[in-house]
Amino acid sequence: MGTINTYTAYHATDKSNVESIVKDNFIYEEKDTHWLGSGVYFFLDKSLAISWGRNCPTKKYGSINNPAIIEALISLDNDVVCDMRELKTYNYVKKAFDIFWQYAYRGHCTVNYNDDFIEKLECAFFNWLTKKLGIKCIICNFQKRSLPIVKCELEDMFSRFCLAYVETQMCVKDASHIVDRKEIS
Amino acid sequence: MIYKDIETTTDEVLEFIKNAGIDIETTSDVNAFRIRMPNDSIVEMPPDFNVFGDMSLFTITGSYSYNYSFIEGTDNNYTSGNLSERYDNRIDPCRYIPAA
Repeated sequence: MGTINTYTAYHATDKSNVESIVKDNFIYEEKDTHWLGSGVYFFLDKSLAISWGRNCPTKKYGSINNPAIIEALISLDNDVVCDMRELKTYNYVKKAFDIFWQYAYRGHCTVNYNDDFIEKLECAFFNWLTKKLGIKCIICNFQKRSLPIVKCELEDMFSRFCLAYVETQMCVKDASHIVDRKEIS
Repeated sequence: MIYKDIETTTDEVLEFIKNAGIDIETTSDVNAFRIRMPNDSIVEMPPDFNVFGDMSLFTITGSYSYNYSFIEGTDNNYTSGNLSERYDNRIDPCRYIPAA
């Protein structure tokens, strides 16, 4: 058994879901395009959860008409957390993808670079990895162009500082690890 | 996380792929890979070409011969063949395009 860590994380949802989530915990649907596989998704940065709630791509991820933010405490043993912010884990996952793809290829799944295929393959891979490693949570960083990042006067110079803002997301595979939930303003 | 050797099977992987809604039947044309070369020419790959295999040696008929190792991430190494041009940079796997 490893070290127990408690994370504070933020989830955007519609106001109509808040009462049941706070009372009965999260329930997630299996979807084939979830980027880290099936699970409950959180941001570690509250402002990103707020941004997501306001700009949720409704067709894929459900409708948020009246955004609400839930702050959750998530308690996890390090042994069951795949934290891709760590280089060792990040590289391990990449190697695992090589294994996954080799078997997929043998099964006549061929390379396809359209967005729909990529999303589904990513979901399949992380669901497979979750099963193989018995992990309960995946944490990773994303660097997206769509993030609400302001420009400064000396943007070119600032960009040469090599300072990247990344968004950190958690995908919790087992809701029993979400030990506390409350709505925040 | 506990790092361990991962053992799996084709059937197991395909189960996850199918559950994710990927239709294997429509993506099973393994006999016709094409690759876009750095000079933007497109060449047909041999039927047994292993896209992400270990050091797959293959020949693009009449022109090029390379060793590839995407697994280890090394550069492509010139090996032999009737080369009219040598590419020093690794060919990005993203340049692979599925057969039409």
